[in-house]
Amino acid sequence: MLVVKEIHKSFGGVKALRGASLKVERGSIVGLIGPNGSGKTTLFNVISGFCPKDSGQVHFKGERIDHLPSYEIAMRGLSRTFQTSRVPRGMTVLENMLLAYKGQIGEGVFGALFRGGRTSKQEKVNLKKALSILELLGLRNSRDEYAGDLSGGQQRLLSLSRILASSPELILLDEPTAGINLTLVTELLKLIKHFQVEESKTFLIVEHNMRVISEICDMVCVLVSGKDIACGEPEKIQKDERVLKAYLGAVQRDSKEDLE
Amino acid sequence: MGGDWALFLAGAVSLAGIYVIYTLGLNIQFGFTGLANLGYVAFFAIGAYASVILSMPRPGPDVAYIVGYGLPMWAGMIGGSLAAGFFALLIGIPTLKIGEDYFVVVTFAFSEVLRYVLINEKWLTNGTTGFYGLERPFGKFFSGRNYEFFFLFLIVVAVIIAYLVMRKICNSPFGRLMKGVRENEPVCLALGKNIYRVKMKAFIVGAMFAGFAGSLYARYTTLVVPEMFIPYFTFVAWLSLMIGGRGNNKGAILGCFIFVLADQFTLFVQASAAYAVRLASLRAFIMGALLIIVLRWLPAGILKEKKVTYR
Amino acid sequence: MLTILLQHTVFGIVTGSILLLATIGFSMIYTTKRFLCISHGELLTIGAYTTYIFHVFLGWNLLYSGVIGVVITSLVGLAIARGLYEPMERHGPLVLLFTSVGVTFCLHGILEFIAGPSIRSFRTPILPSIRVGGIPLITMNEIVIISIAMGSIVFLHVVLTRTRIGKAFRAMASNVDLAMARGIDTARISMFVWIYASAMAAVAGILLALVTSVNPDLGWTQILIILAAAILGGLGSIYGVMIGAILLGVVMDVGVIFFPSGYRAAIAFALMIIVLLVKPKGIFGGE
Repeated sequence: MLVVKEIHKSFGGVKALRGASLKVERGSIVGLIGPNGSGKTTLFNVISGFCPKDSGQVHFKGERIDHLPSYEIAMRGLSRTFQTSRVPRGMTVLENMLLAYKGQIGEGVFGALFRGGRTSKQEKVNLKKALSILELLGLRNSRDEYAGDLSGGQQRLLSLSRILASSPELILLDEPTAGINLTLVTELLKLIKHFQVEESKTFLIVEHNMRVISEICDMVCVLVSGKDIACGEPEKIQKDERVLKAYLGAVQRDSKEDLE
Repeated sequence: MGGDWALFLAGAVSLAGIYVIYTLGLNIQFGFTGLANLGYVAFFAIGAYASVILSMPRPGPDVAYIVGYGLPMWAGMIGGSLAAGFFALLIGIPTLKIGEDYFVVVTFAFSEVLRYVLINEKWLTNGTTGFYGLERPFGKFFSGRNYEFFFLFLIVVAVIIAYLVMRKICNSPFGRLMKGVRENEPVCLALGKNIYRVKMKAFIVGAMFAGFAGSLYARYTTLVVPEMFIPYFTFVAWLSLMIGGRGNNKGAILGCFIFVLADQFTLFVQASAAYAVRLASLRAFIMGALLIIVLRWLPAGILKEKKVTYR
Repeated sequence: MLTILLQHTVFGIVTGSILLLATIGFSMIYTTKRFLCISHGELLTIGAYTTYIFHVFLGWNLLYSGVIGVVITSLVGLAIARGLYEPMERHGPLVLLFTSVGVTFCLHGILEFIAGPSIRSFRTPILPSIRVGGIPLITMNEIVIISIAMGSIVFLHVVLTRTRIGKAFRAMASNVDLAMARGIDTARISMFVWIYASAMAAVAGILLALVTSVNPDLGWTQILIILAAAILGGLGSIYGVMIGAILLGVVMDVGVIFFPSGYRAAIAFALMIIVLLVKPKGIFGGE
């Protein structure tokens, strides 16, 4: 479904990505791991069109998308969340949700002014869908609260529900479990699994938490210094010599830097 | 004397009404979409000048300007707001994609360049003399003081229509989308929203409101001169919006009335000509201080943005 | 024709030198505080008026009056920042920008209220100009202005590269969070920025008043050109701004040969908009 080929990207003199490649099959959950600064988020930004690449290709559903602006990519069914949970703080939970639906007639000035009937019909349908997603993610009771007033964990859930409402086929999650408590993590994983099985969504997840990876991912790709060094099933990857070496080496470097 | 008061009040309320339409346009740009247009007065000026030029009789041989299309007044007013919208499109193309600070500077600069154009291009604008003694809508049907009340009636009708249109736009999914763009651009992009187009639409609609207000203002004062469109007028809209409450159309209305009340009553302070200028400077000081105070102690304005609920 | 061109280029360099002094301070504020400080223009006016009071009313020597003017202006600049901007910093750059617009109207109002709208002059003697090949090319006054501007650049460069506070400023300019994390005293740098920027504005104001006149609109007419110069050089690039300012000065003053002089400032904005279209980050920005 998603094929990423040999992506290069540098910022100033720093090479963030040097030939990163990966593949995501339809209906699977793929984990992307790697030490800090290995370029995971940059790769996400390149795939989702938030950051132009230097070279390489991204194909989605057999089409090249690496030249498209981010909103076009999203319109084709590839959506993403952000590492720090970004929510429009001054909008309520329901506003956040209703914002997500595609093809809204009332989202233009003309539609807003002259097609009130069809707009409100569409709003009713979307509202119903939105409420059922919120129900599933346990946010229904906060429907009229400002997103900025939610707890960090709830904001993450909201980001996820909003993405789901935009009916994507492939969802890129950037560290979905960072900074939320363990019960919520379990809940979240269940939901991801649920959407994979019931709604046949595909996921690509950047994650630090090994538990998450081994629990839900069908495949894992390891990125080290901007290059993918291994891809495979989670059990295999966890035993892979190269991965362990690279990971441990990088971890040691990291902790050394922290000490300085 | 009572009659004079009523007349004064009719004039003040008419002015406030024109400011309301003007400020509603800034509210859609800034209050909803977050576009900090620091040259907002430019669109007010374009509306005023374009409407006047379109409906001016063809000039005789003894005047400096050479343009005048002799259209009916209402056509001039529509043309005025369309012209303002068109210029918003031109300004929006290069500036809406680059950062916020650049947008601020370019709009600000545009309003000043426009003023130089109004002063210097005599063939189009008659220079610093401008156009005066303009005809007022349905002017021939009413005598002197009765006309002021009729004009007030016209303005009230215009304000109600403008408010209803704006409310419809802002309560729609488009209103929600504008707020989304204001609050968080990356999220909107990730949801497949073309934020550039959203900004452009809001910018153009706001400019058209300013243009319409400008065309009314020209008829209110019965003249247009470049001096009327100094940056202070951009500041008027901003101050009214900040006082009333950004992102709230009712707030824009309230803010304008408060501003006009404060502004018009300072006119009652009697002063000799020598002190008139100094009093004007004092007024600028008070308005500046008011903005600082509102931003600091009443950042959301008097009427906060309304929470939107669905059922 | 060549004579006129040469003379206008010299005027342009003078204009640019003054503009440079005004813009560097503006840019220093932008790089550390990340907002467009519109009220910076009014500091030029304050500098000019305070100096005028000491020089013309009290009859002091111009140099001493200027020094006092600069000191007073920097204190005013610091006081405004402490009292009005710093409490608003947590609300973000846009609120700061509007606060500075409010401050601009306040300062302009006070100045005009006290001084009245009349236009005053320093009445400095016009020194004979230096002739090059028989053409009166540049006056001593103009040479002094250009020298002061160049001296200020060199001085600022030394401050930024050699002193601790200058290095700290550059660290803060490149990344505020990082600078704070590394334990740089950002409060002290802020103070340095406000004082230094205001002082430069005062110098610019005095010089501008010397070549033109003292009037309440002095700073107001400059702020837009300051903005244009800052964008031309690349917002936030201190060294780019220096070249941007000189370039803008020359373009404006040479431009009036070809366009009506009413468009002098408009030429600056036109250049700015063209540059934004071609290179959105300014000529030297986003290296």
